[in-house]
Amino acid sequence: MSYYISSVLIVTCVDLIAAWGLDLQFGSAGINNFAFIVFAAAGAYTASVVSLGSSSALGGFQSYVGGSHWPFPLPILAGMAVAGLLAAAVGAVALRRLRGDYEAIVLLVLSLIATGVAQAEIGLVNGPAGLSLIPKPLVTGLGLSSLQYQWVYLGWCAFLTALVFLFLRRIVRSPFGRNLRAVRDNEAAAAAGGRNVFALRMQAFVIGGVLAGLSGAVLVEFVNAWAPGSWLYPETFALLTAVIVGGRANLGGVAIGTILVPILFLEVTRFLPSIGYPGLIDSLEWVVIGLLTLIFMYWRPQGIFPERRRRFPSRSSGAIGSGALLSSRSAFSASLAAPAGSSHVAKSTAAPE
Amino acid sequence: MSLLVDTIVFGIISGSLVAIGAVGFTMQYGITNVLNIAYGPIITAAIFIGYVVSQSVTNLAVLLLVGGVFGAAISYVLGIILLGPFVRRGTKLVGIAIVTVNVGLMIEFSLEAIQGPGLLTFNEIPGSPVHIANAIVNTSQIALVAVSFALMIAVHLLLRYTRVGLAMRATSADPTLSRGCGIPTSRIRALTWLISGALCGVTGIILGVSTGAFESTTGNGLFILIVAAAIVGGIGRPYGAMIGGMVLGLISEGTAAVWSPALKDVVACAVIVVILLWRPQGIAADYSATRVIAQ
Repeated sequence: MSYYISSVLIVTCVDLIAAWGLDLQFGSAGINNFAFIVFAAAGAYTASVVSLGSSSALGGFQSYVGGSHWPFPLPILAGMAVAGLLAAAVGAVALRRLRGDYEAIVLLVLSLIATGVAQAEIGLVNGPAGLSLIPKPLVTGLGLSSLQYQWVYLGWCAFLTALVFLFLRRIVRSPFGRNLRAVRDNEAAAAAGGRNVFALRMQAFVIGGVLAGLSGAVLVEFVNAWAPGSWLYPETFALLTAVIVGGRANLGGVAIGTILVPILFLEVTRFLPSIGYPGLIDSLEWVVIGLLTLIFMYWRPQGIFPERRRRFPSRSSGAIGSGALLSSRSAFSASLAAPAGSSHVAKSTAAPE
Repeated sequence: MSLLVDTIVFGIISGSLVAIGAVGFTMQYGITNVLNIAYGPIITAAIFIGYVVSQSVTNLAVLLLVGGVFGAAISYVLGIILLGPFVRRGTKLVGIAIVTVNVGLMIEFSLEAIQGPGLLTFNEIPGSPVHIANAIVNTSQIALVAVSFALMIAVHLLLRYTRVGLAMRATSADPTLSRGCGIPTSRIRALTWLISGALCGVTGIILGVSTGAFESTTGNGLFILIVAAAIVGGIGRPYGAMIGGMVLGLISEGTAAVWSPALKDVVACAVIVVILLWRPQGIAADYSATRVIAQ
């Protein structure tokens, strides 16, 4: 039981990092990254390859690109770097002023293509079988029992999660975060205010990609296996549902959403008596997750904990450019759903106290 | 030489499939302004319906009819009965995309729950082999290509020569002005969902008959090519989708013949990337940013 609890907590930390990364893109910057899981998978794959060693070892039963024995924190950093680079490459194509829903469908199709290629090309990622026997970091050096190791690894994950939280809170509150929200709420006004819209979106996209890579790398070093089939496109929407249910652009809300949807919901169903063939409950879970998103999109699109309205102390200077941007601040929660003329829009004022 | 003929013959077969799917997809976008991400799963659902029907009837015409009616019905439910309330609540484009993708997930995983583990296999449709140069094709494949082309010509005649088609094109160009001119735009939209949904269902039947084995994600594979074809043709333009579909079919069959079938997806990806970088007209924000969804 202790083993199970620590495992669930580790997965919670991983999902938190991923959901916050997606929320930076989707919630703060308004990028509809329907391919988020691809960046997590890329980070995970990189981390496993650089810790597995040469592919001819162990009789060469699995094939992959590269392969070396990097010491402990380096595989994670490598995963983050590769995911970030991939995000930069994808962003350079997909973030080019496409309409929101168009951007979403292009990214979704890229996600489907990535899965297809990964499963078809044996030499690249060992095909549908994927990689296994990925070593746990520092397992020999610490000399702990496997249960003790679980809790130590949980501590490491919790440390990373806290770090990511502090980092994102800093970003959200910084001028950079304000610029992101300005771009999200009114691209034209932000551009007129002198903001480089493409660069801002690109930066958010790459930071989110790096966080995706981090979550993937930490997860793969815990589960010790990587297969294309466990990083399919629906995983993105489990995280997106967490963001929508919890409340976009609200770190605490997203955390609650993550604990509610991918963790509590998916874990609790494991204790249900099994019905039908194995896998039936898994399929039905996804149907319910889709339904949950529809329900929230209709009745409470801003989530359980909506984005807080931020107020700024009055300042004598610098109000000309940013004033126009601030006025559209809360329009975003209305823009995704919310009845026209709702209280959100009505209350939207730029007036500083 | 024989490789070239093979590629062209099979390219036309798969190109007509992609083209007919892309016409339905792009019509939905052009006239209702909804990018329907559930299009792929609806194709899969049509395959499942066709599979069930083919247990008792193996007549191709009956299967196509059933698939078309099913696709029209489910698309109408999605586009009008489900999306209507969201639009009236003020859900914007991105919100609609999230709704359709989740509807797609629900359809896909419901089908997975019905399917159970393992692939299903479509009953073989009776037909006899025909030689075209060195390529051997089945008469049922030729019939399916003929059906695709007939439907594309029908769409062309509908859009070009009928009052309804004129109303559709007007609604696509400017919904508000069209309503002001007395065009019943909401009825035109409902009709568009029915017609494009029927094309989607027919695409599913053709895919099921021509591939044989299928599962709950089969439609997504074709959806990649359909989106690529729509992007090549300029999204929202049925004629562009026809050309894009044929181009994609020929290119992907050519890739499969020359290199490897596994690279089909890579080619689709490359096509999307090249078009987005080189000619994003028709999909760039400027073209469509001012358009609104209305019911």
